[in-house]
Amino acid sequence: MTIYFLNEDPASGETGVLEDVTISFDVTSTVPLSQSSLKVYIDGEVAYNGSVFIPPFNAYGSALTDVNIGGNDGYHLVIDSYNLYDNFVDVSVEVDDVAALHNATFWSFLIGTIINTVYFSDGYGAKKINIRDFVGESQEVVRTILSTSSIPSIPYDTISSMHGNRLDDDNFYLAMSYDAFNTPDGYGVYVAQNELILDMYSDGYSCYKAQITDDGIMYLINKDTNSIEVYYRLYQLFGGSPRPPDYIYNSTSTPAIMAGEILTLHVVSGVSTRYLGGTRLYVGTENGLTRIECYDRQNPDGSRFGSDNLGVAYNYTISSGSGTYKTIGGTIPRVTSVSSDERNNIFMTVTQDGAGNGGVTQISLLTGRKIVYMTHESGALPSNDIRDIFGIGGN
Amino acid sequence: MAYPEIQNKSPIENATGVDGYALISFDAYDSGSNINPNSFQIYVGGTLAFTGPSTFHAPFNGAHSAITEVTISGTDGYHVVIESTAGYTSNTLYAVRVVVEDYSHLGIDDTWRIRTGNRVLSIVPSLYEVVLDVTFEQPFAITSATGEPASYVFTNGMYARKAEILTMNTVRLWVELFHTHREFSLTVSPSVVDDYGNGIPTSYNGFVFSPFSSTADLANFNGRVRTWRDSHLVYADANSVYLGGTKGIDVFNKHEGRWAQIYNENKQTHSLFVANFGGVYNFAETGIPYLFNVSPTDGSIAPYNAIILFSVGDLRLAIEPTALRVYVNNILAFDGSYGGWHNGFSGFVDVQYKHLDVAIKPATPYHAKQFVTVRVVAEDLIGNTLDTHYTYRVTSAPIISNGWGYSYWGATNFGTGTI
Repeated sequence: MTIYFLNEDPASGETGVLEDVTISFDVTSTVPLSQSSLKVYIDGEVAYNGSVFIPPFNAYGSALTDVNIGGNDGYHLVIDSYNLYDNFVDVSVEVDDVAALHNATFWSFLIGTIINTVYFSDGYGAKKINIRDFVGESQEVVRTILSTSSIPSIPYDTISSMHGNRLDDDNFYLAMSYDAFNTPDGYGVYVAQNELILDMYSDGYSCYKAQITDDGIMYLINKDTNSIEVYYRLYQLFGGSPRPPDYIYNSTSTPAIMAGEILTLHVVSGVSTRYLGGTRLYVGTENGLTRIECYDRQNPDGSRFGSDNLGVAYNYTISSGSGTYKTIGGTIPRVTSVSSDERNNIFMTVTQDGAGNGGVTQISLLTGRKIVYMTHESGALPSNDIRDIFGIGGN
Repeated sequence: MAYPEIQNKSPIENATGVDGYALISFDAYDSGSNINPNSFQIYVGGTLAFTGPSTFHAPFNGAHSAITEVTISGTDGYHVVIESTAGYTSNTLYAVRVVVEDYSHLGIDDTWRIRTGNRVLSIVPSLYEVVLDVTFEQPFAITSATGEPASYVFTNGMYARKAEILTMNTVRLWVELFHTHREFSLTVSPSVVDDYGNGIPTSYNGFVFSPFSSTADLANFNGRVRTWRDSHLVYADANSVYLGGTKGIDVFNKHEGRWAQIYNENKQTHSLFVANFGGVYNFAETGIPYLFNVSPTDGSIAPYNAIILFSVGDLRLAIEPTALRVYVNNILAFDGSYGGWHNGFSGFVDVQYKHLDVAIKPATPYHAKQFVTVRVVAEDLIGNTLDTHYTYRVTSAPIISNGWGYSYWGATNFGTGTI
């Protein structure tokens, strides 16, 4: 007994698909299929429930017909939707045969060529909303792309942080970190390719702030080991996990992160002063901030060249010290959020004590000096209870 | 021979805006024979409040209730004060009736009426507590004070940033809240008056709404955008800023400094990432709002008393009442950004998902055969503007039995005569 999924159109990973596309595929089996068990989900919404097409997937072109392919009977489905337009479309299908054999498949394609999507987790899985669809107080345009009950599934529905990048293979990779602060420990980082195919890293650890560079290197905080893990060749080796990290930064590595609990990580692609095209890391700790100018040189196939130890670290803390120590503002050393503008000569840190006290420090990378320290008391901020910061240049 | 007289009535006859715990008082005297205090019978709102010579019946036996001897213009008499411990119902006409005789058995049965004042009937937060709809029991007069945020004072740090007049009874307040108190009260300025010209009396003011169902802290930034202060995630792309918090995600247009959208579902945002690859949408639509459900329709002939009805919507975004203006025959009827209804027009503007339902009633019906041109100016959330108009014509309206009727082009239609 075998169930086959055939002739998916548009094909998995296809881009530039037109908005008025119809989705079609065949499902056949060596034994008769149970039509009532056939379920089709598009962007997490039921499109076919075993008997009828569900709005808005019931446009005039939607149809289910019998087929025989290679001697196996089955169904040919065409799904015509009223509301498919630019962005990823995720399709998943599941079916049983009359002998109760179950099988499922999933694929995704990209309508148009651009991605303008907000990904978020509200404790009920990974969700998305197309930026163009944002509507006041509306929820109907939100789609659940991954959850504990989706196909494929993620291990837990609360995701602590998300970050993505579109890499040279033209696929979009979304890293989802599971932090023990918000979730049961031990889920590491899941990476979804085009919203569907999953790979996992640091499985079994509490992880946070996984970020993917433009070159396809992933950096993440392993909170259990209090280190930054580095994974090269994210897309070339996609599906190859579990695999160990290619490099680890911690308080004893070279270069080293300042001692203390690692609280946050901010990754900037292609601006390292140590290696052209390399990565700059801002690592916030309970004692201050470490900036690492990485020497993350890659081989032609994207694998690690083995020279990460040639990177250089600079530390910033509230104490004005000698050497590489620089001053950040205020009296609280904890750096809980970091960002930088696109010119990469200024970065900002947020210091927080977890009780609503803190401030924002802006530092010049050129001089290594504090430019300004902003607080409520200074009149620059409405409150010192600052939760996050994001810098982007221009505009 | 003289009959007893009642003077110095307070509140005065036909007083309006009377407070719910107002003291009722008067003087009774008789220039001939003296007032017989045993003969007093005083009714308030039809209920016996006092029986002479000294019995105040509950609930009219408040601490200030008293009968005292006084001399009025050289004549002995009585000064009576009645205090109700139960108070009086708002917006209610009360009759104060005094029955009394002098010792010559000459009597008077004097009645005067007073009307208690307006009050806030309800305060209803919107689904996400960005705005509060404050409904008054009776219509208020539209003045500049009615649409002035400073006219509405809250306790516990909340304040109104903007006031929109939605109907003759309802004002929508855009509120900001900087503390997490769970109980608030609203005191309406005396400048906000009802149709009788009275502000809300003291005892009807100070509407308390508690517990406030929101856990949202609202913050204000330059008066043009709004968000929840407890957002803990921030992201930006070239055009927009995204804030994630316990109520969902807010999006702001950086260039216009304008609030764009709010999304909320499960009241928590654990993580947020904005993916922009290959280009950036800035709420890509350029479509302008559109009218539908228009009545009377363009080019039609309608009864003189037709209510002007239309809906204005947007395919992708929303339209706020503050972005709607309506003119009827070039006279401003509604301006959501300033004071709501104008020039005697009334009606409603109901906020629906992605559209507004509008009903407009002119101060006076239009003349027979008059052309009525309705101009609608509306902006969606990103400023795409509709500026359109349509015209209908009022038919002649002969009075017939069972209502108003009108006829044209050989056809006859009948209206019910109601609006």
